[in-house]
Amino acid sequence: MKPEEALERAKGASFGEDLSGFTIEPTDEITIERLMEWAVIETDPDLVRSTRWWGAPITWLKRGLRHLMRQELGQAYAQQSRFNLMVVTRLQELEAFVRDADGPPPGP
Amino acid sequence: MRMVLHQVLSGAGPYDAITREALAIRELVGSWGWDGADHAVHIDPRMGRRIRALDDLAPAEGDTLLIHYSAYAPRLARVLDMPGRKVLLSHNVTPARWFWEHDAQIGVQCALGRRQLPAFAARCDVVAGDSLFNARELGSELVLPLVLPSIRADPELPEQPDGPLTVLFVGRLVPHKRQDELIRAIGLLRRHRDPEARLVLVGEPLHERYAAALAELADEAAPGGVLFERSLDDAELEARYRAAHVFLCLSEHEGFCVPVVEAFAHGVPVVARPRGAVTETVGGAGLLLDGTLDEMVELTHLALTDAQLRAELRARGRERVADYGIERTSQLLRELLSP
Repeated sequence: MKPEEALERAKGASFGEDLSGFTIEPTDEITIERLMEWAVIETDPDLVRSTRWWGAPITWLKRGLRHLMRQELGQAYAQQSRFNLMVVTRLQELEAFVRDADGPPPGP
Repeated sequence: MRMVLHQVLSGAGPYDAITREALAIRELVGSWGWDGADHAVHIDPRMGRRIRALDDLAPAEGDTLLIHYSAYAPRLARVLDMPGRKVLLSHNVTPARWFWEHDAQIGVQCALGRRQLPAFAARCDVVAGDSLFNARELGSELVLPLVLPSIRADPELPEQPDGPLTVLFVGRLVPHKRQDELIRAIGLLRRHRDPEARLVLVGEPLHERYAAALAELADEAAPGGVLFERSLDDAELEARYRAAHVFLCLSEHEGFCVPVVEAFAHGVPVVARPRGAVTETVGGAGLLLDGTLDEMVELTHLALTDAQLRAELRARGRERVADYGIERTSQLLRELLSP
């Protein structure tokens, strides 16, 4: 068949399956709830690694340093997270204030 | 007067298409007798000394700076204050919306990159894109297709592969390239059309957590049907193309999509969704359908199994490759870079 015929034949195809599992969805709207999640800093230790071909000892060293520095890093993350949460909370309050201020006009 | 060209990249890595292009351009201009060096803000340690740190860049008046813009990078903007003629080549910046849930750092780089790019363009002497899609985002019609010395339109089409039916996609494992959809597609294909079909995904993952999520999906949606590969050398990558029956692209955003051209060069029919610059890169040489996943699977099945369709697509792909041959792109490059 010609390419144009193939395109026509494919249209309307349906296998009737309900697919689930890991799905990529772009984040188009950042909700307050999502900001609340992101406000808390949580790093992933698995991302602390070396990409060099002889990187295993470097990875070990990096993760060891991370562990040794955990008290300093923990304070930094906590203070930043505290600020983030306070800002998002104030933002939530402001949104509620604006929403209430834009409420329906008073009746006659 | 001897021409001096410096190239500037946001980041350089061994499997990155833009880095490979920059190295190809360096070799090309070197053959013309031009001097200069290539610099990047972030350099993967595996690059060795092929790319220099941005801090080492010291152009003179009369030099040309080719700025490959693909993402925000701190200190990249200082290049705009350096002497020399500035040529911006936009490779497009993936919208941040694809990364917020998966990699905050890259999300920030993308968000800032898209915000910074117009201001960058305004301060450059020449603005171009590696596709019309990219160029027009900046109000330009100048296009320099990616310089791909390895792409050649062979007079003889490669033999059709005789192994198991193989659907191939080459590209980083990142959200906007929708390998999750590719995995679901092969699951549908195996269950409803071609039980022995397999999917080969070649590319470096965003990070190991993302790779693990895709691997788990593959185990659920298409057990035994997906092969993940990475860090392939040129010979190994060539072998994957030669073994592929169809190249399937379901990306939601592409600034060019080099693997489509590579597929054409290897006689592999291309099936794709028309997103970003994919439409332009494919031209009329592949099957473009803005369809549901089921429709894309059906189209892939037809491209896998219909001999006449395959012959037509392979022939069209071979013609399309000529538009990206090194002879044409090197001429365009020289025109773009010459004062």
